[in-house]
This record gives sequence, C-alpha cells and structure tokens, in this order.
Amino acid sequence: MQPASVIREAGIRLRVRMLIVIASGGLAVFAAMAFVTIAEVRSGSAAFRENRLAYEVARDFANPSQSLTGGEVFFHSIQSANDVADIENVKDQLRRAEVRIEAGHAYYTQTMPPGPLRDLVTGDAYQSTTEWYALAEREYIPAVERGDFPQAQRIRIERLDPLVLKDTAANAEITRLTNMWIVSNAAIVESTVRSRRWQLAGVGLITLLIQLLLGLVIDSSVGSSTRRLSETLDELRRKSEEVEAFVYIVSHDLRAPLVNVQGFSRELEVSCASLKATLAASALPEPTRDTVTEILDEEIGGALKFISASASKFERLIDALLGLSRHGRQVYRIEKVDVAELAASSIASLRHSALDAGATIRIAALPPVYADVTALGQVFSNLVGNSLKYRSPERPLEIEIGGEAAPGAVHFWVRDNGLGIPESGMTRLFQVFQRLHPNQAPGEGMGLAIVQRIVERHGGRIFAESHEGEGTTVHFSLPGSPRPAHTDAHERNRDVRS
Amino acid sequence: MSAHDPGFTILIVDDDEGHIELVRRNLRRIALGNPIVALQDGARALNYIFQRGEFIGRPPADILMLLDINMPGSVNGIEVLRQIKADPITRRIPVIMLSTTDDPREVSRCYDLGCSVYITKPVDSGHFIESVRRLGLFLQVIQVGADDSDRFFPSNPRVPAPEPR
Repeated sequence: MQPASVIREAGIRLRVRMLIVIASGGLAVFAAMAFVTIAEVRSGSAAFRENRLAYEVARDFANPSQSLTGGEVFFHSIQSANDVADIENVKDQLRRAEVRIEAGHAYYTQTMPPGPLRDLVTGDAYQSTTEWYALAEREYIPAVERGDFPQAQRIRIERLDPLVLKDTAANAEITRLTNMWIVSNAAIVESTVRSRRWQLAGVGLITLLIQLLLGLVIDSSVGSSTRRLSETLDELRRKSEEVEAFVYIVSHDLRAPLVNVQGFSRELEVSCASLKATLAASALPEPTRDTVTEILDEEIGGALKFISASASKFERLIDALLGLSRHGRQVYRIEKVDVAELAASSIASLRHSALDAGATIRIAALPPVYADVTALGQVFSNLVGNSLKYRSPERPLEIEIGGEAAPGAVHFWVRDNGLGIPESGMTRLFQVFQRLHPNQAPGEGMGLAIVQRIVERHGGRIFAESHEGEGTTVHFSLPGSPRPAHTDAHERNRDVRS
Repeated sequence: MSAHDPGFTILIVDDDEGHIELVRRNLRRIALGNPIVALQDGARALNYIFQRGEFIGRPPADILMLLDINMPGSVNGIEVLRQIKADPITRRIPVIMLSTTDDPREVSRCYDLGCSVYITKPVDSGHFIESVRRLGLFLQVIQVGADDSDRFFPSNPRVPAPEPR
C-alpha cells in the first residue's frame, strides 16, 4: 500500500472520528438543555407552581369529605353515638378537623396569590367553617350530651345549617374560580413549553451549525496536515529512491574499470606463463634465465597477486553495497511467522561452525510476528553468525535468542558472551563497511547494516548493547500485527517503470 | 558459401576500450578467426546493423552481437537491443548481453526483450566462450540450410533464461 494513501486513509479515519465526537458532544449538550428546560418548566415556572396549588385548592374544597359539606356525616355519627366514649371520639375528630382547617388557612394565606379566590378561601369559606366547628363543639355537642335534643335540634336548624349553606355557596364559588384559574394556568404553562420548544429547536440548530463549522475546520486542518505528511513522505521516498539509484549507478560504473583491472591482470598472468614457457625452451644462459624467472615469478607475479587480491576485494565491496541496495528494493511478502522455527532453521547452516566453536545456542519460546520469512531468516543468521565470528577465546560461547510480546510489537534479542564491542565502536555499528574486529573473521562489514535495513523496512527498530569483554546483545522489534511493509508498493511500481 | 567466406561477423559494442580488448583476446584465444567489428557507442551500432549513416552499403554479413548495457549517450545497450528485436528481420541476430551487473531486474529485462544470453563481466569465463561457440555454430547451420531469402539472418537461438527473481 502506498504510504501516502495510508496517511490519507488515516486522515479520513481521524476526521470521521472527530466528527463523531463532535456530533455526540452536540447531542449531549442538546439533551442536557432539554432536560434543564423540562425541569425548569416543572419547578421554576410560576404558572406551573400555581397550577399545583390550584389543584390542591380544588381537591380541598370540591371534595365533600374534606369540607364542611361533610358535616352530615358528623351529625350522623353524633346522633348514632350510644355512649360517652363515642361522643369523646367525635369530639376528638372535630378537634383534628379544626387543626387541619387552621393549617389549611395558614397555608393558603401564605401561598395563594391575592385576589377574589384567596379572599374566599381565607375569608367566607374559612370563617363559616371555623364558626361551624366552634358552635358544634361549644353548644351543639354539650346539648346532645345533656340529652337536650330539642335544644340541639334548634341549634342545628337555626345556626349550624345556615353556616353550612354559606359554606356550600362559598365552596361552589371557589370551585368555579379554581377551575378558571386552572384553565388559565394551563394556557400559560402550555405557552411556556411552546416557547421553550422554539428555544430548544434554536439551541439544536446552533449546536448543529457549530458541529458543522467545527467539522469543517477540523477537516481542513487534518486534511492539510495529512497533505503535508504525505508530501514529506513522498519527499523521503524520492530521497531514498535517489540514494538507491546512486548506489546502483556507483556500483555499476565502478565495476567497469574493475573489469579491466581484473581482466588485464589475468592477461598479464597468461603472458607471464607463456613467457616462462618460451624462456624454458630458449637457449639463454642459466644465470640470465634464473634472473628472468625470478623477475617473472617474484616481482611481476607478486605485483599481480596484490593487484588481483585488491581487485577481488574491491569487487566484494561493490557486491556488498549492491546487495545492501537490493535489500532495500526487495519486495516483501508479509505473513505470520513462527519465529522459533524460523530462527532454528535459519541458523541450521551455521551448526557446523557452532559445533567447531563449542557454542551453545538457546532459542526460547518466541512470539509470532508478521514479516517476510526470507528477510527475517537472514536477520537471525546474520546476528548468530556475528556471535559465532566474534566469540571470546576465554570462555565457551553461549548464544541466546529470546523474544517477548510488547504492546503493538514483538521485541527480540540475540545475546552472546563474546568479545563485545568497544564503546567507541557503538555508533558505527550499523554503518556499512564498518568492521570492529577486522582480524577476527573475514567479512565486508555489511551484516549489521543489512540486518538494520531489514528490521527498519519491516517498521521495526534495532539497537545493540554491549560491554567489551563481556558480550553483546542486539535488540530489535517487529510488528506483532499484520500491516504492509511500507515500501513495497512503491517498489513494485518502480519495478514496473524500470 | 564461398571459399573466402570468413563466417559470421562478431560485432562488439562496448564503450570501454579495455573491455573490447579483453573480448578480442578471449576470442583470439579460442581461435575464432571471424572478423571482429568493435563499436564504442549504441547509435553507431544501430547504424551498423541497419546499414545506414556511415555504414550505408556495408557488405551484408551474418552477425553475432556482443552488447554492453551500460553505455553513455542516449542509446544504451538496452535501447540497442530493443530496436534490433523490434525489427522483424534484425530480431534474428543473436545478441549476447555483456554487463558489469548481475542485477536481476536488468537480467530479466534483457531476456524479456529477446537477448540470447546474458553474461556478467569479466568475460573470460567458460560460459562466455561456450555461448559464442554455440551461437556461432547456429549461424553456420542456419546459413547452410536456409534458402537465400533467409540467408543473412538466422533465427534467434534461444538460450533459456534463468529464473528471474
């Protein structure tokens, strides 16, 4: 996959995610406002509060059992009272009703808005009720208790009943006014809610607009940073392509003169051989022949040997450079790799030299990774090969291949107890042609450079820790989940182009 | 075939004089007495093949071409190969690619274009000598067996390409 398109995709994903966040944020704000509004309508609005009061009033005065119209029940219970105890009970009920009426009076005086309804509730209705109760308590009940029923009857007809009539009239008026009050309150509440509805709609609209604006702003900023990032990546890719091309051309062009050096040294060798043959067949005097043979063998031959050796060395270096550049181009096939198995098989070819060195190689249980099998195999064989090459003569070599899963990656290491690397060499460790123990083993100084290249092309990191005389551990990480090696696509493209 | 017919002409195209000299010596060593024409750039090589420019009226001959890839100027070895193989007549000329690199992309590209053999320099290997002999032999065989219309350009003997990476 093209790195630029990967970035574009990531940009789109980011934008979508941010829009979702904004949208849900907006929704939350809207819901909160709606909730607050409803709560406000319920508790804060005067009309709503009054409405509740109006319903209380209506309940208190329209319900016969709650008002004086319930007096019939009371009379009935007195007349049917058989003994003193029953009378006492009725008196008790009477007192409690009085307390209730006093409390209601206080409550309505405090809470009701001034006006004819309040005047009625706290005036006529209250007075007729309290008077009725007082009269009943002070005169009617004592008369009944005395057994003076004609007197009681008189009190009832002449004084109590007119009070009841008065109260009933007041109650009817209260009910009428209360109903009107409730109706007008309902209209007020409804209009309040309606206005809130428009406010809510407005808030919703504004939230939406803000979302849209924020979305646009974020979209454009993410878009531009994505663009910048992919431009940088393109630039980097161009650079790396340039470097690849440079290495390729250099290796190519350096070889041409080298072919001449090699070819003509061989020609000279052939010439020397035929010269010697001619010399052997010639009739030259012995000392002269010896001298010429010596010049041919020792001087020319020696010089040619140096030229050939140097040319070969030069060729190996160019090959190594070319090889490294190829490692940068090779198309990886990323798959899930059983690393322990791969490590074991990739160091199988080193078994012989491991035996010679008396080395112990331990491979721990290794987590799987997503990598190119061939390339990863080379990583292990290069690293283990290095450990074998640069072992310490003072102790038997031990090599440990370990690994553990880390978040998003798998961390591996190859540890040995070999020569170690001097502190001064650590910075050059992964550079090409760097050989820190040149006399220990043959090589071009490319092994770690190639390893680094492979690991980094997989999107991993590599570093080494080492103590001279104690050993070296090379650590590297590889992706633990499948993802395309980022240079593959552009390599395929380039291969098609070239 | 007349008694004077020296057989096929070996055309060496290489910008490096030293390389030409080394090829010459190698050919001499295997006692190939064929006439050798050496040219140092691709444009002249095409002129030679197509008998144009300075090579108008060049006597017809069977050609075995040894072609370097990396040459300066606008016409490198790949381009020479492409043009020769694009022409229905000259495409039968056997071409041995001589290159300093064994880059797999280059190798497969040359085989795709229709080269006979791809050889990596230096050229003193047995592979080179064997290839020249074999392709030369093909030229002779075809020359004897072919009718006149087909005389100059034998069919292209294909050497199997190595598996490209």
